[in-house]
Amino acid sequence: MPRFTFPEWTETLKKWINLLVLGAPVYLVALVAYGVTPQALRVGYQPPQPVPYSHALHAGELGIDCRYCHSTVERAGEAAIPPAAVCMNCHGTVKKDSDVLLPIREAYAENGAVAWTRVHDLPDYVYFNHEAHVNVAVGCESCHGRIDQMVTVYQAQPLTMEWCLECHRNPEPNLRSIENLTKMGYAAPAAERKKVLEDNRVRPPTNCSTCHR
Amino acid sequence: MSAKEHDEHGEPQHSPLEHDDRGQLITARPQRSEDERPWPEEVPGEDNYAAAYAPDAPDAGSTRAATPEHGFWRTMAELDGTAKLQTERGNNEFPAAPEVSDPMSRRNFFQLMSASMALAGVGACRRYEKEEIVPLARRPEDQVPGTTRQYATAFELGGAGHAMLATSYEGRPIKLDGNSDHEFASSVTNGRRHAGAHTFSQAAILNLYDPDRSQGVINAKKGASIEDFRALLPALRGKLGAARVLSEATSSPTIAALRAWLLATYPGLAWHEYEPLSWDNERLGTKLAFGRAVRPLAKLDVCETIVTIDCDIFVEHPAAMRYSRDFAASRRVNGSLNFDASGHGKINRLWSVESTLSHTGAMADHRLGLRSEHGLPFAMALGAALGVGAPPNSEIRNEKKVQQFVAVLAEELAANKGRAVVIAGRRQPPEVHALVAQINQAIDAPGKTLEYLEYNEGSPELERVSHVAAIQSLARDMAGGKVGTLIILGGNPVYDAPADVEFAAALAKVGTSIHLSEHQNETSQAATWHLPRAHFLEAWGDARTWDGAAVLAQPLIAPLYGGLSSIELLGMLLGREAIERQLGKDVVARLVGDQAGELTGEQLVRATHKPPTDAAWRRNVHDGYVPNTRFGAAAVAPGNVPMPPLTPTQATGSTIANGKLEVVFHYSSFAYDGRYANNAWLQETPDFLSKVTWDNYAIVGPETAEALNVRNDSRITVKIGTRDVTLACYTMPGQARGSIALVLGGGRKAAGRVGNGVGVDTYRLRTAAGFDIAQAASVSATGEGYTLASVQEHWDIRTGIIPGVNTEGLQKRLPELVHMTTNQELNEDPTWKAAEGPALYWDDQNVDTGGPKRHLSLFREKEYKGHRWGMAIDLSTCTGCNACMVACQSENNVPVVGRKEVMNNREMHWIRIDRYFSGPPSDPIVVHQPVPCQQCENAPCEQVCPVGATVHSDEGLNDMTYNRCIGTRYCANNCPYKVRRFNFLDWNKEWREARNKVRRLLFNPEVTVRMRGVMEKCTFCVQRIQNAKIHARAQARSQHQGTVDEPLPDGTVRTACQEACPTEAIVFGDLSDPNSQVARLHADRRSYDLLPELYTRPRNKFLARVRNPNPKMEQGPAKQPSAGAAQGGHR
Repeated sequence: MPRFTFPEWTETLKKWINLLVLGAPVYLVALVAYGVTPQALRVGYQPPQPVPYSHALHAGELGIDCRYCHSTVERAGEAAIPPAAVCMNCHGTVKKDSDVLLPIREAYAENGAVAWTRVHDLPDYVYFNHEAHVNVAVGCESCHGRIDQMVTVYQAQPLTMEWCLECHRNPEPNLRSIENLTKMGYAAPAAERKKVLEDNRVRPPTNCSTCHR
Repeated sequence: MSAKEHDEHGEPQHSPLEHDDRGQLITARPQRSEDERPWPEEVPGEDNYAAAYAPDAPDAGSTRAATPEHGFWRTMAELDGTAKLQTERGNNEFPAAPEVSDPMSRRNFFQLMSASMALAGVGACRRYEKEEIVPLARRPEDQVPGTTRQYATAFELGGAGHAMLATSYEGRPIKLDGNSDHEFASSVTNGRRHAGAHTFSQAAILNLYDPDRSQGVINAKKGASIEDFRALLPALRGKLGAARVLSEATSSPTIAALRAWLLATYPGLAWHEYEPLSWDNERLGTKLAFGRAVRPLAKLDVCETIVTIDCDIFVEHPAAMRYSRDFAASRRVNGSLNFDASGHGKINRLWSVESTLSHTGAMADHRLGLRSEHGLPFAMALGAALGVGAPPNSEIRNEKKVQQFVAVLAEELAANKGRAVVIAGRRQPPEVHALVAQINQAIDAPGKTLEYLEYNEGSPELERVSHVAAIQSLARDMAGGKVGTLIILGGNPVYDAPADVEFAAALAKVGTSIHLSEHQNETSQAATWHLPRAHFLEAWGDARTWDGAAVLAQPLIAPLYGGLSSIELLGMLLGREAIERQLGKDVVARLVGDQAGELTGEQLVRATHKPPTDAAWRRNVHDGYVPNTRFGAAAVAPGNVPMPPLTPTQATGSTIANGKLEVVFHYSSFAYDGRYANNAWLQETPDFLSKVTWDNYAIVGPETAEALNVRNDSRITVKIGTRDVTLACYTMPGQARGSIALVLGGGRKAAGRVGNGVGVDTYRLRTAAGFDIAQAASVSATGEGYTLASVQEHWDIRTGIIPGVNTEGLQKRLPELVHMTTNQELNEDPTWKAAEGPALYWDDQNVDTGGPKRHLSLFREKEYKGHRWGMAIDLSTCTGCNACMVACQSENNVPVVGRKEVMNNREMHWIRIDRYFSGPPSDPIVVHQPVPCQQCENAPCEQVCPVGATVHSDEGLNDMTYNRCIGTRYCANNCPYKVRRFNFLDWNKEWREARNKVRRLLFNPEVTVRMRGVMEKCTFCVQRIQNAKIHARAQARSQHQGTVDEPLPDGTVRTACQEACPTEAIVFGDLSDPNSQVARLHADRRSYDLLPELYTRPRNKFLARVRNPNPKMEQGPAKQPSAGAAQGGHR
């Protein structure tokens, strides 16, 4: 049986293989490093919206409670974006001729819709539920950041599974009494957090099916 | 051991079989010596008939006596020993593996994969595509985005209404269930109202989103608009005086009213009604017996003896859901009958006489397989034994089997007067129904176990001719050129009218024919006008449940394709003026306000039901019914009805003679009468007994098949007179001797992309004379093979990790899977317990130290502190109706794979129903066993997943995480119950096509739609559990302000299968609550684990099937053959 020899042209492959072997760790490190940057995690993702609605003005300066507009947050999984009719409650009289409010007025008049861009976008296989979190008194701020200071809303937290689990394993730092639910910049004292933890018997599950179904 | 090795080293135990290149069995008939047969020789034909059925035959029971030692079998081939177990394909535990069927070579695959990896890198610059949130401009009151709401509605099939609840998610209906608020549609068990719904009513929601539904008006084969049709209206009204209306059967009070108005306005108009599967015989039978038509309705929950004559009371009967629930109530141990003076548990006893093994026959304690045409002589014999009428002059009376059956049954009925009922089926002639009415009178049934209901005054049902007669006379007139204008409301007579009526030819002679239909079906294409019909979830409507109660349907969504309902079309035809004349101008004005033009569907329905106030109407629509509309009780007594002379074949016995066979027509589980042919859910739901999907076939009994020399999985020609049809043959155990059942609903040509060309059109053989039972049929084999897509041997849990996976090993395992007992045994032996099965691995150490004997576990066992979800499935009340399968499909976005992939074992149902036979094939006992994921506490699947995609939750659920799964399929390999399903292909691909996008509206948003390459399985409806827990917390907070916990009372979380089950055979709940229903069932002595020797500790337990045979009928293997054997480790 003739002895097998690699054909000559494979010689040229060798240096490329070397490059590949040397390059692979560099590539992997770079990939991982990029993967954990805020850019990749979309922290700070701040898409433009059809109406330059300012949370800083409404929630911050005017002090409107979050639940005035996001009224379903306590009884549904989704904290619904308010219908144009809610805007018109005030803007029927306040700034009723403002140009920037035109899409709202149009939607209201024609029963149309305003297409807002989703900021906090979880993968489709994740089932996050506002009702579950708000009713055990996790403050809005814990996930959404200082909304009262955002002129245009951006994503404040990474919303990764690791980040979710961090709180599910130790929820206490993010609890507050129900009266302070929507308060911004509020740091609950340790006693308050502990009381809520015990009163509400907060034992967030860390099972897969808690969020993935 | 791979299949290949087996072939090389294993000893072939049977003569080699022939395979085609895909491993399919094409011809297999190994020679067997007669003494090898596991049951006594019973070769039919004239000669053997004498031996087996002669009055002096040794013992009727002997045909049952010698069953295989293991007691159970699943296919005729298995019983014969020729099962595919021995074939290359069958011995492979995973025939679904891609190497079996994927044409793609390994090299191709790697090439493709590297290309897609490269592309994946390009596409990953941003994590997700931009998503928009589009809120309504004005949110309706009480509308909460992201939550579901339920609305009452009504479904109608074949003239019987069903009260339903539709679940709607943000304006799109996503699920249908029975309405548990409706009195007829639900019953109370354990303090809770439960409804249940059959497969057709649940799957009807798929029709709503069917992209093949008619999307526009057609005139003279060209597209038109509804305005064109409106323009025709004045001319049409001019012709209505001589026009005809052909309607499908409907119980709608509004249509009845519109019909009356139409006939009053146009006295020359004639209204015909046709339905291919009709219960006319029952109505005409009561007319014979009582002088006027009344409707019999049995009360099965108080019956101790139930007799059905050629009648399926569990699925086919219009009151099937009611009957199923009531039957289960009196069947359940500790059910509605548990009042025996001796303190013994009492359950009902079901006797069934029928030609084709039905759901009812499969549940029966005693079943007599008898040709449908022998229903008359049987009823006469039974009547005579009870002192009603004269005995029949038929040979079947002398057959030992029949003799014994009639004698013991008559004795039991006489002893159970006032606690028994006899029900006859739709195929039986009116005379049998009349005779049954007399028998029921003789056993004191009326008023106790049976009600006669009076049709409402002026009901068309009172005087209507039969459906066959109606279509015959109409077609005669059409062919004679006497019909200028024909309006067809629904139905599909071109396809399903009797063949000798020649409806298509007659329709061609009609000047203007207008067909209102959901699909552009065969009739639409032959008519001059086609109008798209609104789905019942798109329009206002109403119907009557079988007891006469009016149920209301409200639109949940605007018509997707601009369809009209029958009510709207009739209202349009009449026009406002005619309606004003009938109703009174002031009434109409009050209804419509200042609206001009035609009345809307709602106004017409409302005008019919005349609610006293607006609030009352809102209440009725909310509840889905109008109270106090049930038919009143009829005070009737049957007179003597002369029986017709017996035909020659009725006078002979159970002989098998080619040319003198009978043919009966059977509804199909996948298309009903053909109307659901385009419904992929139903197409893929296996028939409860044959387990065949995507096909129809001829059912031939095993003895008949042998006598006629036809085989399973081959094509045969069935001939009656000059008409013949060639289709697949299925040899079904239990099919009566000399009877062939043809399944209807196949061979559609204009059903849509799903249903076109599925199966064979068997209506071609159905004539007006042989509408129910056709005689003088002959059968011949064509010699061609034909493989039906049967899931019969898929997911065989008898193979697997048990030692010695060979035929013997399989047979040994069988009785451990299905446990049976009798009520007598339960009563006589208070210590009886379903066998626990052999333990393979005991903890020796513990035994040495004298500690309690316990299993040696391979797993680190976990303790559960919170909820412990569990399920119990009662095999005693499971009728095998498949409702759970469709419910699961709907709830969990389970994909449909199609006929070809079903043949590759790739069907995706999360819950399957295993079916086992026991006893001789001529007269088998049937057990259904629904098998969802067993949610093992020591789950073998979890141990082998390399990526932790399937792990245990602390509530004991075996969680499946799709986004982690990389598709190794190790878990499925290691699952002893074979409940895991793999997405071999992207089953949802087609829903991304533009024209199919509408179908995506049906997806349940609470469940991930799985992609290719991931494993999936039953989750115990974890989405319902999670949502229930979250809502309970929110509710607790709103009540107590501050203290929040999640108290979940028993029954808060209900799985989809449980909700759909009409007999409540499936119970789900929290095992940590000792008072929950499921915990009590788990503690029941009938409960047992599947494959307990593996010590997987399943969270699902089965409850042994309890049979209740009459001790006077010598039964063969009535008892669980295994109970002792399994423990003692026989062999």
